[in-house]
Amino acid sequence: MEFIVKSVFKNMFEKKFRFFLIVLSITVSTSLFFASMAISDTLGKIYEEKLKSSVGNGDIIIANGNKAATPFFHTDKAEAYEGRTSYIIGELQGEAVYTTQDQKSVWVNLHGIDPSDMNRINPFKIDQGKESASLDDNEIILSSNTAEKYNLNIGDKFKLEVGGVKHNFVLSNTSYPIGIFADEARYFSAIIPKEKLGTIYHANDAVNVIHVKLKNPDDKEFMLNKLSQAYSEYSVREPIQQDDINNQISVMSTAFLVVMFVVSIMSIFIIYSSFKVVILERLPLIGTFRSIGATKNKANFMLISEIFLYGIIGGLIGTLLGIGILYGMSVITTPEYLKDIDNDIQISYLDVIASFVFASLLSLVSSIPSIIKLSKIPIKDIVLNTIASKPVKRTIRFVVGIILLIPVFVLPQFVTGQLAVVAVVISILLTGIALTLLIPSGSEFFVLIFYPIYKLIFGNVGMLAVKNLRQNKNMLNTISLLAIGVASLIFIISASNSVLRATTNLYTETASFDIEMSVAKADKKFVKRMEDIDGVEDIYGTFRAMNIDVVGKGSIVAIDSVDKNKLNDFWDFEFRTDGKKVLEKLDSGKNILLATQTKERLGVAEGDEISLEFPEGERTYKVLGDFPTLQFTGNYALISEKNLKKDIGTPYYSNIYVKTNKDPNQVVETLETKLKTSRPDIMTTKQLEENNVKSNDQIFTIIKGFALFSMLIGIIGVFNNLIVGIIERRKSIAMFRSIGMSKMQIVKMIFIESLTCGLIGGIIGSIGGYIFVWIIPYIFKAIYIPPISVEYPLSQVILFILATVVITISASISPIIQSLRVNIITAIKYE
Amino acid sequence: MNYVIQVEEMNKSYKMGSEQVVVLAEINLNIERGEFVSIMGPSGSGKSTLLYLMGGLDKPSSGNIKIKGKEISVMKDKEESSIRRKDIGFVFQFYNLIPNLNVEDNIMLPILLDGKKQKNYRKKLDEVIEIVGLSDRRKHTPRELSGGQQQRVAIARALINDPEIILADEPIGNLDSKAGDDIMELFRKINKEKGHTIIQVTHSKEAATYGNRTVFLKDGKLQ
Ligand SMILES: Nc1ncnc2c1ncn2[C@@H]1O[C@H](COP(=O)(O)OP(=O)(O)OP(=O)(O)O)[C@@H](O)[C@H]1O
Ligand SMILES: [Mg+2]
Repeated sequence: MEFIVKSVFKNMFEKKFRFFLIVLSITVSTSLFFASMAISDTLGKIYEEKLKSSVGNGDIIIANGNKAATPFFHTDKAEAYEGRTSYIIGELQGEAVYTTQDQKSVWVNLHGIDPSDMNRINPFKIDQGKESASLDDNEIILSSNTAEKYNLNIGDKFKLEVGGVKHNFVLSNTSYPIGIFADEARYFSAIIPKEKLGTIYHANDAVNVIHVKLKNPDDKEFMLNKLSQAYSEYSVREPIQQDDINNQISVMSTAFLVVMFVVSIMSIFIIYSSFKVVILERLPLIGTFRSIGATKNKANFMLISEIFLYGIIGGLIGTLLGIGILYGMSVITTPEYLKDIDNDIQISYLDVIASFVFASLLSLVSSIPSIIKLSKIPIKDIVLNTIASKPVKRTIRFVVGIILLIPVFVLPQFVTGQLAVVAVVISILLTGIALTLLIPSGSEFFVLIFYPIYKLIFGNVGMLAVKNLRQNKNMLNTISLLAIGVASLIFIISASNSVLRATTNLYTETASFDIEMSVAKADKKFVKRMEDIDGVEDIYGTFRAMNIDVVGKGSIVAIDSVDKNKLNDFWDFEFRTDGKKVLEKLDSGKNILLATQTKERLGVAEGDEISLEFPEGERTYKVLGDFPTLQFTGNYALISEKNLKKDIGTPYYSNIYVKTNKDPNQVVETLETKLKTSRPDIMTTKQLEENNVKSNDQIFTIIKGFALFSMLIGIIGVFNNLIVGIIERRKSIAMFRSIGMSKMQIVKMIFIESLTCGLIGGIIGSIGGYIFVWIIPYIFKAIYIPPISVEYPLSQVILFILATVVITISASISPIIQSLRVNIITAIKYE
Repeated sequence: MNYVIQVEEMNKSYKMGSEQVVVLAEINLNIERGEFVSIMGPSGSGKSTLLYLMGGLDKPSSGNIKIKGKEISVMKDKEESSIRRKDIGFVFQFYNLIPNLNVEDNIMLPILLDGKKQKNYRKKLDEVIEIVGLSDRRKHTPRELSGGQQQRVAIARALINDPEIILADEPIGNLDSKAGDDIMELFRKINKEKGHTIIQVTHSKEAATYGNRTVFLKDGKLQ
């Protein structure tokens, strides 16, 4: 035993570089594994935070409903359940108009609430101003962005118009742009004393919004029920739809699942090839060991214990590094002012343990093939050190690889519904496996193509290089690493690009209007009046029902009304049959058109009847068909105007779309001034689009950055492989030198080999990437993202192939130098 | 005098930690063109080391070695490599074949490295394969060959380029006496008919008799 431990440690110290490489590979994979798990949690949180920034962290919100006689109510009925809540906070919300120096009107969201209460619901953070936590009568808190924009300093007086009357305010504090101050694109927010707004509104002590946070989230159903009864005239609901969050997060987790899978595969390759060499080096020792009577198991035990040691060291450093990466990322992505609010990056112990298990499994799995192979070698060959690696069994791999590709193309097309996700994941995994299996024959194929060209350009040394390539498993590993790396990079880039493009182009591609607006209490008359405003060419108002339950099936986030004469002029929906006819039919009865994803999610077919729970009661609709759309990420349906108006029981439009015959920005200004008193929320499609991009940007940047970062491990692997390859080939190189190969020729040979590795790896990778890109639409479909066009990023692919060549060539520099230093005799005699 | 290899006042020692292990001491040895020299001596006496040095595979610690009148230590890598390809054929004690190349490719290597066309050497290849008796093993890779067969491939490789000098380290150490005699016969023939210089290390007195001079090494010194 002592002998074993001693020799293991001695070996590690002797081959410091190898030791370093193996530990580095395990370290990097572990840290990526750890970080990718933690990041997907973090991203979920980012998204949730984003959603919560406008509504706060409460579980239930009670607000003004359409049916109530007065918009104001008291918290007392809610307080009957105080035992179950961690807070019940009443707030008065209101609207005001601020007139800028250049006489433009800007809308202000007033929050009449005590700042300390606001901090419990939806924290903000004071940037400048007075120390005291509470506000005096005229005092107001704005965001520092707003203050800067309108040139307001602490102590400055200004007026806000509330309900037609001007009131004086004094800027007492500014806040960093978080919480209610986070999104001020359309208006800005302000905190004023509740009593002040109460006086203005004559609300006495009443409020118009109540925020409730529960001690136990499981109480939610119960409390929603109770509060709905207590505040029957008001709207009692959850501030955010959990479905919405889950949907977003599932997209992200899929992305990270892929990244993690790729990282693992690449790590296995790297560690496998390193261990192979370790075992090769241990052979003489093992041989001696076995020849004097040690059992196979003892020999294997020796290797496995060494491998575990690597795993543990790598796992330890890797997890620490992962925490470092995570911390670094959060430092980079969190703005300065947010740092002490959610300062703590969440490190879950589960993640740490999982990473450790991952590291150990990784090293074990990667070393098992070598150990099994070793066990099969007769002692004689070990002792005499006469084992040479067998040539790769290309044909078998090729056949298996091709067979594996069949389900890759079949599964996603034919498996639908709940199992689709499984089918898609299997397809992705199989593609990865098939790719590695096909790499030997693929390389062979390209080598055959390169052969005549090389013979012409590089002469005999080129031929030798090609011969080495065909036989050397190490180079096949390098090619595999590069191919898998490139393929997955293409995969991730094109997937995130298409999602980004699709969300961006929701407006440019399907909206044929220029301005979207929403106004409270806009009815038919209101719209009629708008038609005469300068620049307005056409106008279309729609009703909208939000979060409608489908009995026994699920829910639909948004149902819009359809005016059959206008819809096609304002939106480009791709109905499966003639658009006009479909809309005629929609109008002819209680019919509904579902977004394709909604139809699949609800599991209904054309002609089925579904029951929708509208505020006015349950209504039965017949499914007329489906159409692809990105509206509400495909959680969407259309009903005729006549029907929807009745079902939601309101004469007021939710959205008004405007086509202009002038510059839309100018028309927006005209509308804002003309409709000032109605306080419209107006945006051009261009602005809507920009907002969309901005809100998705952060997430995609992280995903892409992460994908690129995971390439790092591929690059380390390539370096590792090429170096290991040269170590393995020391003897051959010495051999070549002994029969008169000049140093120049050696350099040339290795250079050609690496060039070819890079090229083939890049090319096979881009082919694999093509398959992945083919799968992407099915992934979207499986997770209910509406169909979006997915493009093969050709120009980037060419760049990737160039990059692989650069990587392999630069990775070959060190091996070349090493190989030139080799002492011919020593190498020939002892290696 | 027409010397192909001159060893002058040559010492070779290895550093082992802080100690210097002297392997070869004050060697003076001139090999004339067309000689067939056998080096003999007990195991560990430095025979292989001397042979490697004469082929320029290693550098002496002091003293000179000249190949065809030119000092090795002043040669550039290109020149040195070229000499190894064209003028010297090596047969190593441990054969040293390239594992991923088959018999033919291994034998053809010096030709390939010289940038010559393989086509022009087809006949020559057939000839040497015939001589070493491996006609039925042409496509085998080294690991599919026995030790003796591997040795014969190494010999064939040393012959393919018709080198002026053949350096052989126990070339028939692994062969049966019949095959060994054949090779020795072949060496003698090459030496006689073409006038090529042959230096072999051997333990066998019988093999040494094929040569026309025998030198003895003991403890790193020429006797
Ligand atoms: N790299 C080295 N470092 C230290 N000592 C070495 C080295 N190479 C060879 N020696 C020593 O030099 C001496 C001569 O070795 P060499 O291989 O020339 O012997 P040899 O005469 O060919 O023996 P054999 O007949 O067994 O092949 C040996 O004692 C050996 O220990
Ligand atoms: Mg020897």
